[in-house]
Amino acid sequence: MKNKKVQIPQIIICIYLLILLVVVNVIGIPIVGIINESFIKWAMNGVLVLSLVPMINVGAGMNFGMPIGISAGLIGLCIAIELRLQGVIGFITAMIVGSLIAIVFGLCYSKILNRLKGKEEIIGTFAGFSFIPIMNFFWTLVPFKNRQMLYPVGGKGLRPKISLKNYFEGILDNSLVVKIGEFQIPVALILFFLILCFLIQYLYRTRVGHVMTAVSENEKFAQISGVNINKYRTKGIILSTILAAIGICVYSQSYGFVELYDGPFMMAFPAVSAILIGGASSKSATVKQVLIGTYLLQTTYLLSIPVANAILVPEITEVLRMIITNGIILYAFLYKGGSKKYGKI
Amino acid sequence: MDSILKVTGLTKKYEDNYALNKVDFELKRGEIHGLVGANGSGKSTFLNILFGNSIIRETGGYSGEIIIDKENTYIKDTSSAVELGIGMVHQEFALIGDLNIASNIKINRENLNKKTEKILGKDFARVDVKRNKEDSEKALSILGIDIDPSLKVFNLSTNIKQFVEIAREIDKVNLKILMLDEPTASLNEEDSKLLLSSLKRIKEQGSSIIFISHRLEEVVEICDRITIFRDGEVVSSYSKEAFDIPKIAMDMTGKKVVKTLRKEKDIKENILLSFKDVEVNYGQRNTKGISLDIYEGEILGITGLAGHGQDIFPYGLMDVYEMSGDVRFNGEKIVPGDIEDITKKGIYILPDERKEMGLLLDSPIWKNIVFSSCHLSTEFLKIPWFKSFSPLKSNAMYEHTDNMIEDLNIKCRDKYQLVRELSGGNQQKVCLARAITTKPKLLFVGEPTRGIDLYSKELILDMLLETNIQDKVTIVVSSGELGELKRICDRIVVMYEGKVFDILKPDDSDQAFSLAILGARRVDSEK
Repeated sequence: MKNKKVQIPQIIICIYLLILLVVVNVIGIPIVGIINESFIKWAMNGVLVLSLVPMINVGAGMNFGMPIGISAGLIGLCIAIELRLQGVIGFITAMIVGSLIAIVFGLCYSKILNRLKGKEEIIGTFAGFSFIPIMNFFWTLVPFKNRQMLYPVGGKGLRPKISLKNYFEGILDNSLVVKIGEFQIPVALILFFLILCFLIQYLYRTRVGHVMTAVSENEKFAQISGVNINKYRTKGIILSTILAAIGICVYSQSYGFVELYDGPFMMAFPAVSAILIGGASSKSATVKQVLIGTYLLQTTYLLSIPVANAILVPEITEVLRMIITNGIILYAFLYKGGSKKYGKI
Repeated sequence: MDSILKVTGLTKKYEDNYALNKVDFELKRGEIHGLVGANGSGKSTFLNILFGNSIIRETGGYSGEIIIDKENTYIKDTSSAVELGIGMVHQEFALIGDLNIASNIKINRENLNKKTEKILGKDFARVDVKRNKEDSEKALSILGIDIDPSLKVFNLSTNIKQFVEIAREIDKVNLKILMLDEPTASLNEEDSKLLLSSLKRIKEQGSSIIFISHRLEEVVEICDRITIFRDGEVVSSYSKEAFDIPKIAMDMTGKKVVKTLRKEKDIKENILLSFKDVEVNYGQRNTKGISLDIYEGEILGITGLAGHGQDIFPYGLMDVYEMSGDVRFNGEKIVPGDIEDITKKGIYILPDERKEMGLLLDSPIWKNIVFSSCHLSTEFLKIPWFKSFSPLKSNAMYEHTDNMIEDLNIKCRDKYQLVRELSGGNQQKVCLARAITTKPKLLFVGEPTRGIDLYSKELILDMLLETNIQDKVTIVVSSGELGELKRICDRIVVMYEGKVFDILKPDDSDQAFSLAILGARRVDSEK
């Protein structure tokens, strides 16, 4: 239980981060701005990463099917815009509506995953990918009336990128910003993120959490002890889906746009990458790992952009991003296989 | 007789603990040498070293001398051990279910078609299936098993699998030393006898055998010499003339083993749980018309040959097997498979596969002990009104765990130690502690003493008796160890081909039991 060893992905990413920091200094990019930005990136992506935790801890693996939850959140956002709700009310409506839809989506998703136990990660990937075309139909056919979200030409179907400028752009980022010297801390955003973290942390101190972690550790054991496994798995999967819906709302208000269509396509990967850097495995994850992993990964992204722009071809940033994200996931799977190999004779 | 294996001053350290300390050991050509000792006494480490297990290498290797066939060797990995002519049969099976028996036996030593071998080389030559079969049949016939080697292994019962495993080892041409780690643990008494007699035949073929078992009767019966391990050291060694079970048992534990025995008690025929005309599906089998009544306050034993369905009752209730039919608990109808309802009513199950189903191996002891109670009762909830979302009372849980560790004498570092690190006997105690904590009305226990040493065995049987009498828990024990059942049970059910064949009293004769186990109708004075 008390395994405090620093794992290799963490070491690699920390070294990479240090190198970037040194280069940033040498090039002369202001470090304060980057640190300020890093807080926003941390909380903005943090909720999506946090959404992985319930599913991992109920034995359903990394949620590669995150686009399903994200789509639910996106519907929530679109409905809030359609109703022309601005400010806090709009944001809260988006989250509530998104969560309600996420419950329905999560229920269907859990039905699939409970039938195909043991292969959740690959099934989730495909479920997520195949869900996007279905949602694309929805986005083009949905009879919304607000012209700010429709295609400017023709006036039918939602546009791929809807601006939140007139609604709730930066609602969390820009309220309650505390300035200490040059540093700016977005208290509302971080507080919102930390409250969600605390709630999840609390969950694992309760009876439900206790049972959930046991299900992920040894399903047969839980069954023999009288636990209805599928019920708990369903609960965990729905919770993950809801958190993903809330996560995309938080992400969108920071980003300033609602990205539809292929927007959610690859969103699961950086999140999975982040939690792996934090030291999670596909059997157990903690909130602490979410906090550490997200901060390390997002800051790396943040630093690599100006550095790559300054010393390499500008387009290289996106390539680097992909290499880091997917490389870490691949490493984590390899590492898992490796420990198996040496575990037995 | 000259010696085939000679070990001097063998020492193995895990961090600061000596798993083996200056062990001297000699194995003569063509003898069966028994190794006995309590759990954790170093027998397994000894075999692991001889077989070049990677755990040994990864934790820093060993020191000491190993002389095989007059040659001083250092066994660095498994393949070098195999080259030296050492074969090992593990407690867990290492068989490939999708291959047939012959392929499993000849794996990596397949007979090849000579012509294709010349043209295509060893790796791509055609496998000579026919000769593989012949070789397998030969190896199996040494063991006294008559079975078609083209059957797939996953279809076989546990005992046959064990024989296939041994056949694979004796098929090796250069086999000099065969090591068996508890080969009879998963076998019932009949099959054990068969195995033991086949070991004698292997010995006659000229191989030497190292034999580990917790059943002293077996060891005494077939071994030529016995070496006793205790706490990583060799305590004593006896040859055939000086065998004396009580003395060996003394040497193993360092203290005297008192055999547990039940006291006569009055059981009123109050039915607690009844199965009536129940149908069960398990594996590829289906049995109908099973009926059994369990009386309140009794200890009921269930025995039979492996695979004849001793475990259908608990597993059927808990949805591991499919069960349907009329089941009543305290007169109330219950639905088999509705696990939440069944556990809430007070039926609790400790499965026979302790490590796979009975424990959270990577969790600390405290979590293993309180888990079910947290789940089933409100005992450890801080704010019961919150129901499942209430935080847990950590102090109460820790305190309870400490009490349990003391009461049941669980040997561990502290309550935070992972269950994986405990020995088999202590793991079983943790299981029992969990069951007792839930205060069940009816407790099913599967193979409570499997893989547990002599001394701990009695402690566990004692604990079962105590729970039965003091906490008034009705207990159903399913086990292949008839001797133990006879000592603790009030009634013993014999299962045959998935059905309740007969219900006997513990003081019925051994002969009556053997006949019932083999499915022969009882013809005695009662009729």
